[in-house]
Amino acid sequence: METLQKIDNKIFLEENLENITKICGEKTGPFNLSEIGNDPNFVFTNDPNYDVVVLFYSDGTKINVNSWIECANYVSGGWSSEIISNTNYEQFYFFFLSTVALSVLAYKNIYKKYVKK
Amino acid sequence: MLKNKSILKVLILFIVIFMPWFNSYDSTQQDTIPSLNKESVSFYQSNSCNISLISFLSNNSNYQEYEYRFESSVEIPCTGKVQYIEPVDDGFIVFIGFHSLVSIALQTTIWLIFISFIGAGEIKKISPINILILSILMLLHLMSESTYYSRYSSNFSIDLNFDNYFLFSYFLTFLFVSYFIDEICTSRTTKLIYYLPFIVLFQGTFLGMNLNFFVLILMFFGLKYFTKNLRIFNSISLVLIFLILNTDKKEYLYFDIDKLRGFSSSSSNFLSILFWSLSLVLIINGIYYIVSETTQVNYNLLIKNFILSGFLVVVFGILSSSNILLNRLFFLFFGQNKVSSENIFSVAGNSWRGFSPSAEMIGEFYGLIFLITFLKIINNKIVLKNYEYIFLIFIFYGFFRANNVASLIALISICIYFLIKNYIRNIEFRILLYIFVVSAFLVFGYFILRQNTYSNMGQAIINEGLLLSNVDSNLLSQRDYLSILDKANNGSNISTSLEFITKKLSSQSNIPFIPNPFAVLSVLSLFINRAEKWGVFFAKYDPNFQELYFGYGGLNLVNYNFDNSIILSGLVLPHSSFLSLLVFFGLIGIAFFVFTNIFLLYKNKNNYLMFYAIVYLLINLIKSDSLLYPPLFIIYFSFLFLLNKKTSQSYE
Repeated sequence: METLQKIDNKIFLEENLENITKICGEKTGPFNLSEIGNDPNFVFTNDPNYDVVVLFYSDGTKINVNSWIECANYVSGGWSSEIISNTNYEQFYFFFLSTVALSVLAYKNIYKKYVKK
Repeated sequence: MLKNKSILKVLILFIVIFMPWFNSYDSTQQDTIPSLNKESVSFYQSNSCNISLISFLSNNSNYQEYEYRFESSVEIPCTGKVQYIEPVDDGFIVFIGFHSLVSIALQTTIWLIFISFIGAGEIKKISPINILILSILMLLHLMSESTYYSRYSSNFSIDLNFDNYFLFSYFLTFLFVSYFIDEICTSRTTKLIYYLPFIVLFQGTFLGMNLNFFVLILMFFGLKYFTKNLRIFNSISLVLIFLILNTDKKEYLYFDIDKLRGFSSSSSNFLSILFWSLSLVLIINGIYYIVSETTQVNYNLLIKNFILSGFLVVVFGILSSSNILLNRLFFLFFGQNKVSSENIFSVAGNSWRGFSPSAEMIGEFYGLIFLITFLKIINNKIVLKNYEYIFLIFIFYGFFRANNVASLIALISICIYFLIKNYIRNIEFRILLYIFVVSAFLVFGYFILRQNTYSNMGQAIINEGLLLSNVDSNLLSQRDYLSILDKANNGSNISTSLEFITKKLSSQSNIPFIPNPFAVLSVLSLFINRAEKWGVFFAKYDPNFQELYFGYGGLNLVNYNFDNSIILSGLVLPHSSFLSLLVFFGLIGIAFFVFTNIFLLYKNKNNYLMFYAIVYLLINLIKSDSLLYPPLFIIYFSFLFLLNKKTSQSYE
């Protein structure tokens, strides 16, 4: 039973490895996620060389992780680096910039050509 | 009219610097915000992106006790607000939200306003095609380093569809940046060279991005004049890039570039190698263009600006180390790729880097200021004002604290050589003095290394390298390198480069009484304290035949770091700019670099100021990574092109 669980974990981890690497970066040491398992008392040690990564869960909660193994553990638990947001602020920003660009173009082409003359 | 324009610029500068921190500031709500402690931390955590930085500071008079970090992975409205507070053992980390799109806009505005204070020359036509090409190149960069940007930007996506406003926004932002670079910088190209020293102060790295503002400017100029100048260099470079792209390389998604942010690839794939290699070529073209546009170089002005810049770098370094909040704000406004030292005391290796990401690099910069000032003063061509002598005292303080002994020795040696060459007319006495100085250095070196034998010193690099390569420790302690190589396939991780130099060093066909070049290199490395670092380099540098000749690609340290199974914590740099060039462009690249330098130095040996400056920098590049930082890279190539400039200064 324990062996089956280990195989399951291995398959799960391999499937998630790409996602983990994408969010947490390349693995930098001999870490083993299966050792952590579901142990609620497991204490993650901070890695001073690791840039803090902010992770979000589907319910909106967030957490800052301080080591690769901590990050990998949370990502395998369904956490993600992307904020679940209902508003697309980049869309606003894009339209704002577009308006500015069009205004500048209008000023340069219309005002300078006709009004100034 | 001019005065009004300047007032308007200062006003915009003032607004841009202070506005973000008042985002959503509400003076009536101040009483509801508690001061930060263990009990109230949950209040801040549950009010993420609701409290402006000003509100936070006004409610926390002990703000100096906390650690501050910028967080780019936030929504745009979170800019300038407290995103999250994390309790740690000795206090709290305050994360300040700052979206990268906003930071590009804000930082570009500040730096372009500063550039706009330089008097404009002839107005030139806007080049829309180059603006478009540069923006497309930036998109290419985003796509090539998607793992890096997905970590630092919320909503990051490189999907090419009409709903991807993230990509549209970046594209439009870069169009704007490129347009304003053309509008503001092109008309000032004849004077830009004089402001070159300030690149050490305004480092130009965009917050949360792996891009540098000055790199963008130079790429823009490079694009403009790519087909007109440096045809041989460009042709060779393009062929080399083609060859690099055609070699099979392992791909890596993410590499932590740490203090090289803005000037190094964070992943290794076809697009990233193409982007960074092409960038380097364009940057060099851009530098060449700026130098060639300056008709008559006023070296006095250039040196005075070097002194002013050096002074400001020291002052801002001291200010940054005195206040944690200033430290972080300077990080944003000056575009630093690494935060300044957080205290005035020296830490690792008894060196203090102050405002710079590297103590080694800033030591070289201070040494360069002293060298060019000294050469000019000796030749009676510059009169310094009293305050400039005070500035030099500050620079000396920075130089002393940077603890760059190699720079100091190079500086003293060149100054002594210059004095002997110019002031001792009697040739015999001159030769006698040279012999005395060289002998003094040799005796000095002997007393440093006398406890060791030549044989041991000659093996220092390979010994350090093999220590990391999981080889038989008994054989290593006996220095039985041939047996180590014989057993090399049994679980050891000897890199191809380490294997090569170990074979060459222990070869039976070595000619008696003629020193082995690798043994000499090893002894020299001990003199300059590089035996361990270069041992690590050779242990990690594991190229195949093609990679050895053509390299891994411009600014690509990813394959060098990951193509082997030796894992070391942190960013492992080659600790020699020549070795970095070997990694980037292989033997062909480094041969081209060395040949070009020797040729230009020989051809222009009468341009004394640039000649000695280049020699000084080259000596330092042997043991430092300075070319990996944009300021020294740009200064180095500017000086190299100034050296070759016909109107440059020569001996009197």
